[in-house]
Amino acid sequence: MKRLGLSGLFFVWLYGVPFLLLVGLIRRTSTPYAPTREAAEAFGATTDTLLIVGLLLNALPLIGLHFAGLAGDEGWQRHFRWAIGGMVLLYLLVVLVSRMATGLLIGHTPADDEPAPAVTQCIPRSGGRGCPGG
Amino acid sequence: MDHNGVRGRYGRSMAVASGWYVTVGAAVAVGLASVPSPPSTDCSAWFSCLSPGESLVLIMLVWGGPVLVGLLVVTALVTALLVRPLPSAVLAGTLSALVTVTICAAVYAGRS
Repeated sequence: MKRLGLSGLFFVWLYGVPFLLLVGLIRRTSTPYAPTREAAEAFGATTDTLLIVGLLLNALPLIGLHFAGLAGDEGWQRHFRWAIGGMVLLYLLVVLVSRMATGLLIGHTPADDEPAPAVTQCIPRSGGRGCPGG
Repeated sequence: MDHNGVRGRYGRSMAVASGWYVTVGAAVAVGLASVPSPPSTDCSAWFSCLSPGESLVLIMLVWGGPVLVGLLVVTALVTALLVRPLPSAVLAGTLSALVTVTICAAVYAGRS
């Protein structure tokens, strides 16, 4: 049971974190078709969630090392010690990518195709231009 | 049972390397499929209006499958070299996947 938990933690980190970060980065660098402003914001929000969850889960080796220490499992302790190196490497890679990005890596909203609202009414304003016919 | 010997580690390293290919392939497929594209209006050309599932099957048949087989053949050779000096199967598998992709990218870039 203990071994199963530790190996689950390890493999979720090993494959799950790169998966989430890769999906998030592909979405972040893409130009999605967004007919409305809301659609673009929802797309951006999902991308942010993926990236944030990936970055949080990347800290799993610290938790794994703690539990492996409690369980006294020397083999998994060694695995998680290596994994902390991988964790640092992955964080550095994300920092590198975010330095290359134009704009924010997290919190970016893609452009949308919503047309600018057309002006249909003329409201007279003091000091402004006069309305046609009035 | 040769579980912790070189032979056992070789099998597990290959499994770890295959896991990387599956993970990266799945991430690219999911990432690209989750990006909405404008609705296409002209469907007269061949393969111009495929559903995501159809295009995934087509790409796997024409491109993904052969590339994966090639990568696994190179990985089998690289892993055989790396599994002896490295004590951990996860490390050996991950490194051999990285080395394989680097070799294949270099060969591809050199040819074209």
